[in-house]
Amino acid sequence: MSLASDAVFEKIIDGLKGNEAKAKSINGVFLYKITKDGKVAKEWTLDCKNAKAYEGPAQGIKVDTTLTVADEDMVDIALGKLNPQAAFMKGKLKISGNIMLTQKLAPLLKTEAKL
Amino acid sequence: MSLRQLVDGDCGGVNPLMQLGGQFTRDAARKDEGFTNAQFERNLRSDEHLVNEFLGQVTAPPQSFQMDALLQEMREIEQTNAMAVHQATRGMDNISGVSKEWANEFGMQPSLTSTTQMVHMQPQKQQLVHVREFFDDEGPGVSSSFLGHTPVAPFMPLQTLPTPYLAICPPYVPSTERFFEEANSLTKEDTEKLLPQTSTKEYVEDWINDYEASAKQRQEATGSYNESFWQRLQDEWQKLSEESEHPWLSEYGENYDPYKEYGFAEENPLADVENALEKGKEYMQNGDIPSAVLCFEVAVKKEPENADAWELLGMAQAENENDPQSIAALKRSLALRPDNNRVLMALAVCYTNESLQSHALRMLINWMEVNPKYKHLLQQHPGLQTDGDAMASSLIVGSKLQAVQNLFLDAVRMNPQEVDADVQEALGVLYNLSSEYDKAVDCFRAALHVNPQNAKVWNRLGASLANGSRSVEAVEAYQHALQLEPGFIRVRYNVGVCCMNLKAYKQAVEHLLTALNMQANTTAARDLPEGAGAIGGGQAQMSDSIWSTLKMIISLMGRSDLHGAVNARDLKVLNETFMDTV
Repeated sequence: MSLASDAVFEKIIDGLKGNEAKAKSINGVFLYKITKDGKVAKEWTLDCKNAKAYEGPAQGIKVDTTLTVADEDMVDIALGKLNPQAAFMKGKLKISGNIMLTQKLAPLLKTEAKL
Repeated sequence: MSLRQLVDGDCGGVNPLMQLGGQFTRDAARKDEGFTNAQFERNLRSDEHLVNEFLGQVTAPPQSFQMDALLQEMREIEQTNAMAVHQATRGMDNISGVSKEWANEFGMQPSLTSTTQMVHMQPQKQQLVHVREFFDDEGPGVSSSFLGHTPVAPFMPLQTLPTPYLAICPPYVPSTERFFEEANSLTKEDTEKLLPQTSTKEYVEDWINDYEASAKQRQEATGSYNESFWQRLQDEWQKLSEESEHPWLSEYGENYDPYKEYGFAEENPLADVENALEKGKEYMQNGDIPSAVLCFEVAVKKEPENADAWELLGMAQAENENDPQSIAALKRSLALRPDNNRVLMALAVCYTNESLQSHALRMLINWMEVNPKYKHLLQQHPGLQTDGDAMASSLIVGSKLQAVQNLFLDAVRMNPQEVDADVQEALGVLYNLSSEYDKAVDCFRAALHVNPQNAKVWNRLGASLANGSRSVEAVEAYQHALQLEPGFIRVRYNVGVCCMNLKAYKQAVEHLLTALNMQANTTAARDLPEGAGAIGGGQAQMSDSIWSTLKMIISLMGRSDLHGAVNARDLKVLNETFMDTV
């Protein structure tokens, strides 16, 4: 099954390839659980410690933070339409584990206009 | 006659009225204990009076001091006192969140309460009791809510904790003194003088002993509670520091140094160009940034020690939407000439784009340091001055950002009449770092007021607007930038991002493809006779960021069938798919 948020994760994978050192400086392992119609449809692992991302649960590494978010909300976050903090407050984004680490994810996730 | 029998005193016989009178006199004891009601007392008094008059003698005995009553009362006081103290200390064990000072004061209050119970003749004290009881109830609640925060912010200065609580309590010291005065006069003078019985003395001693014991107990409780509190704080801190990968501590170190090496284009179609530096400047003027980049690359290859060439290359790469390359080139330039404020500013911008906050701050501080006009301002911020690399770790990144912002605000205040566009730009960058996009917009607008022909600043204004979710206004600013410099690749990319954020995917793709086509089909490449080499040169100039953004948009459009073309960077297929429909 293909989800809209797949595009976001492919972008993240590209971003990690482009700059390993920067990814490693985030120094955390994230597990995204993407939900569709209230059910977990896909899982993605962002292993910033080794600068790689892949579909499915984490392989042989401890997950620091687990994030659960709906497919369309994930896209909105990546497009900057939905502020991750606001999403968290509204309960659209559920985080368990090390919340502080997620603060560092923003540059990887969001496509920002360049100065 | 029968009445006479009642009234007349019989020799030897018992007069019933006398019996009644005796009963009433005995009742005075109970009256002293405060159990008789006032109405009955008054009736009794008049009866008594009549009887006394009739009998012609004083039957009511002098109202002696009732030691029994006092003892009873004192015993009660002692009990409540001990109980209250016990409760207080037990409560403190549970609370374990306030300083010793507060605890002592809290412990004293119950004894005060009992004072007022004992000394009835001061009604204003009774009110005090209520106030105090109210705060006694409030006290633990307030302190426990304080405690709720302590694990989160373990550095809260503890001595300040009790102050808000004390502030709402009425001053009690004078009444305490009064209590002791009264207590002293009661125990020593009255009691001993009126009833010099040994039992009382013993009792008073007992009472004092008990009081001392409870005070000691209270002190011990306070001490142990303090100890346990600090123990907990220490444990908490240890736990935090044991987490070696705590996010704040592992924040991008200043030592982390990405983009060291500049990656040259593998096949440069302009490799044999004469006087590449001048040619590059010419291309730049004409708005052909990718060609200019190629020329500058040739120039720096020929003269690797030429700071100007590296600087121009870095600037060109920034406009070419290629921050990593730009940073590498600018760093080379900076190494050759460390006091170039243009390079410092450009680097700060690049680092900001790449979310390398501490690097960007470092550059802006250096910018001020090399600027003779503002250099003296740095002396007012000793924490920011360059004492090697060690300083970076001494400040938390957040507060450092704030400090640098203040530094540049000082620079603005130095001469409020005259706007320094550079300082405004720097402030704009700083507000982008702190995500205060509205402030950044104001700064860039001020800078544009000074120099409205600067396409770069227009772009920065647009980017700040876009990042602050004001995409529509951003497009306007981008338009200005493109009018001034049609070949500004970065602006095209930004417009694409802007369209994407507005979910206008088709337009976004078009803009990004325009940018990629410009990078691929440089005039420099077209000038060359063999077109084959041109593609190779163009490929190297295309930015990864544009490609990855394009890929995402195509996925969002649901055109996964085109992924192959994107991965192969096949512009031709994409052009056919999207540009024909324009």
